[in-house]
Amino acid sequence: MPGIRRLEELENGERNAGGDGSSSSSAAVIYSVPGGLRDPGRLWVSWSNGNQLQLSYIENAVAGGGRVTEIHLGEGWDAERRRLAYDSLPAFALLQNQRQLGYNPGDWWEHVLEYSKSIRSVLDQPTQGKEKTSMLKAVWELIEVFYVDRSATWWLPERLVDWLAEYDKVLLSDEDTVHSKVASFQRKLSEIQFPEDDVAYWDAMASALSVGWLDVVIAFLRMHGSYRLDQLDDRQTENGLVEAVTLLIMQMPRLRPRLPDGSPGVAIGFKPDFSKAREKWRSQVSKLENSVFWAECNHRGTLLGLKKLIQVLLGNVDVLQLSTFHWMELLVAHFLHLIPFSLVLDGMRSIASKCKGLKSFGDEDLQELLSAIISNDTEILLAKCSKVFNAWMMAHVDDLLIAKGEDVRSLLEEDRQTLGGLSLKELHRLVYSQVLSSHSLTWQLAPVYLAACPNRGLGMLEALLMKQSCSNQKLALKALEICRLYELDTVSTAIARAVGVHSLKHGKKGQGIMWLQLARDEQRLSTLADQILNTITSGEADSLDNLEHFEGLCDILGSGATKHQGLSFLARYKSFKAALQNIRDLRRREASYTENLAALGRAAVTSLLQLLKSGTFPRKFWLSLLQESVELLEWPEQVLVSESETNTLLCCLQELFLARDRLEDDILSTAEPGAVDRLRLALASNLCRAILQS
Amino acid sequence: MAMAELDSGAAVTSWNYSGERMAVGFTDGGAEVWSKGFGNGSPALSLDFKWKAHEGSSIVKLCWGPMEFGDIVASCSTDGSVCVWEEINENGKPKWRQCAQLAENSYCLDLKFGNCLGGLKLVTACADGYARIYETSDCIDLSKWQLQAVVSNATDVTEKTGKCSCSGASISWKPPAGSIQQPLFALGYSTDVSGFSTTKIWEFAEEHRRWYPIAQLSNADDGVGVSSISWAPNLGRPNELIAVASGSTVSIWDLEIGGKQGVSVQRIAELEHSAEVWQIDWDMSGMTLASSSSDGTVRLWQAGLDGAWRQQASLRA
Repeated sequence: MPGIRRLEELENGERNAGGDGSSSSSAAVIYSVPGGLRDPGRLWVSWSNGNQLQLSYIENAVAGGGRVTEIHLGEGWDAERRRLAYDSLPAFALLQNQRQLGYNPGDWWEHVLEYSKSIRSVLDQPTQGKEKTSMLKAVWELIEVFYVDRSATWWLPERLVDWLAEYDKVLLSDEDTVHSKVASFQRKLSEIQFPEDDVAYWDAMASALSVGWLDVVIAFLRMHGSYRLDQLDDRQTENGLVEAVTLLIMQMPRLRPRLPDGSPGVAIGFKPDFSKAREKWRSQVSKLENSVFWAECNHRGTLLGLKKLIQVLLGNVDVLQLSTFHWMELLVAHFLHLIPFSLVLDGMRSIASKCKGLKSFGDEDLQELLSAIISNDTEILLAKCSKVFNAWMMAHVDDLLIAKGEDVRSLLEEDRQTLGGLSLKELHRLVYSQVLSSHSLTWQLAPVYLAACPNRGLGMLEALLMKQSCSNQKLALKALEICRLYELDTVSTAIARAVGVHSLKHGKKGQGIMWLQLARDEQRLSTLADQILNTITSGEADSLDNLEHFEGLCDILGSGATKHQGLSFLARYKSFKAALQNIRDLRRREASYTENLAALGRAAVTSLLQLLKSGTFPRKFWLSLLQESVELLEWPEQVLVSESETNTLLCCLQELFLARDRLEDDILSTAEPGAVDRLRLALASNLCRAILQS
Repeated sequence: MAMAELDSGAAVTSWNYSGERMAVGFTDGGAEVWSKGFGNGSPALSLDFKWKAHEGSSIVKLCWGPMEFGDIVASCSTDGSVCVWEEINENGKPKWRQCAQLAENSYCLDLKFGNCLGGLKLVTACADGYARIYETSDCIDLSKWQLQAVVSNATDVTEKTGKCSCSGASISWKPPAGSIQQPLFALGYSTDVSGFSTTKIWEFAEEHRRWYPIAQLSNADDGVGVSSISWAPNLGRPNELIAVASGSTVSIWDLEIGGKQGVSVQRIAELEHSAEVWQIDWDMSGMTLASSSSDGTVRLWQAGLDGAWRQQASLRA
């Protein structure tokens, strides 16, 4: 296909041109690495993310050391470029979405126009680096006018006039343009009383008129000295001539749908009407040129100046050439004054090349680029665009170009054998994605562009995600989110697995298990479960801390996939161990409880005996005291009352019986039936037990 | 931007897969691991850990393992030993400890990990011209390795029986597509015996549980041995690209596996340096090749729109 060969030739041509070693060639870009060693014996090279190269220089000398540096290839990522990348993403994503949802081919250009306008508004807010962004915006808008906007094809030349009015100031920074001349004179204008004496005044007006800046011309004309109140009487004719020229300019017909409010000129949207109006207007201009009043004009400067302006209006080629500074201005002047009718593109191309031949400007690449846009030469456009601008431009401009038509679409979207099956459009996006991946703040923008690459987008996205470090949890979560969006299950499993193992090895067992469960990695989880089981059953987990730790792990393990036998076994083993532990705990508590009781019981016995032995306690209360002491005598766990103490109690009881027999006090009869027997039984059995125990 | 200064005696460096950590081997057998961080907005390396990997011998090569197995590094030294190290946490601080030692009969010139479906594999290219492939089936505990196969890089029977002594070797696995890695690697030696020095592509045949050489990247004029091989990441190309550095030339080979003729190879580019090429590496997209040579330059190569490979840039110290 001819288009491809031309592109290759262009590329080769540039290489050959640059092969003589000139530093501005694109054939071999030389980077010098600061801080390299004097005698590098070995140079280890390794690619990091995106376009970053890591170099290790190691000296040859035995005692030599080494240095490690990182080189960032291509342009750096400053804040302005990052802002551009972030802000242009939504428009790009929207367009791709619309393409996927399906569209009416005839209306596609309207979607692209929307996209183009969104990008232009993004380019509108530069904070730093104004120059480059303005140039970008200028080229972008020109491409929009010539490639996308189908509603404007019938008044293309006028659109070019508007474009030049907006961007003449950014086209050339170090050469003269109409804008620079006008601006410099404007600064002087307020100070001069009689500007018509200065040739620069008339020259500036002629230049402005030739490129269609009618408002500027009229404003300048109104500053003419003859309007001053003190001059008006003497220079009436002169003033009249100035006024006549002003009026003519204000009535200049323009082939366009509308003009901004208050602008001079008459906008006529219908071609036949326009040609009629223009004929009439031109005859008026010629009449003025041949008027007799010129002889009465005394001021030579005004005479020559006004005549020059009229020549411009009549389309005098020599005057136009003198008044413009570069070919774009000359081209615009051609369209305004010489051939104002809308032309087919071939005509435009030949005129453009003629103008270029007459007045080329210094920056050849930019010149070629602009002329390629106007002449609809897409291959040259692509070649020059990639030379002048960066990867961002190439990734975003393709969609604009494709809106033109089928032949551009096939140029950009056709799969090429020489590129390994990639299309140019895809190549541009892959390159831009790689540039985005070079910085930690922009890599997450890359998936959107990669999703729009049919052949290798997915592969590169996988590679990009796998390269993210697994020691940073937030980064891993972000990567997993992207995997979920683009349905990359194997990659998300791999990432989760890597983070899980990393956490495990660095002592965060719980976190590691959680990630491994996310990865559904049965193999590692079961190995881990076995390890934990080993630790538990080997008895190391008997201490309370370990058990809690183990319980925690089991909870995490159990809450996830319990399909694996090892895990569910662990859960049941955990409940069993927990129950065992409960029994032991209770026993321990009871044991201590028992001990406390026994101590209390002893205290009670001691106080009882003290009561009885002291002899101060009246006999009639002895029975009730003895009955209360039954509880102490019948103590189940142990013998609380010793032999001697039991003996003492028995003696007391005996005394009571003797008292009854001696008919002194019948205390015993006050007792309930069976209570005394019970007491006697308790005393007797306690004595038995005490004797046996001792 | 200089990120770190290495002490005297540094011999070899190796970066892990994500490019965040670097291992350095020294001539006295010591090893260091550094991590990349951002200090004052520019990247800088900080030393994490330093230990004595091999007593009394110089480290020849280091390589990092796949991230799925944690942070692991394998090292080989002039005394013939090959060790596998892993990073763990001890008392809240990271520390490197040895997982396994695989002793060698002759000394190992290059080693690389491969994460295959059947388990983690480690290929070591030894100076006697034989490659030894170890594998482990345990995914968490990397202390048990078995020698799975010993293969000779010479396919000609007569050459196999002769003794060979190689001065350098290079192994490159086929990079994983996503997370799956096929058991395919390229192996070449730097020696005067051409049978060994020709790069061969080895593949593991699952049904026979054996490694077979499926292709050979050679031309009649190959006399000088191979110093470095790098297999390009394949993001969706139908063919594989392998770059082989030998002498001062880097050749790019196009390898087609599974086509109508089985396996076919074709040399598609020869890139010249002015001095001996030391190391080559592909970028993440497999479209740019970086090569470093002993003349102190690093050159970057790309294919143009016509498919021809040309130098795009060079870096000079």
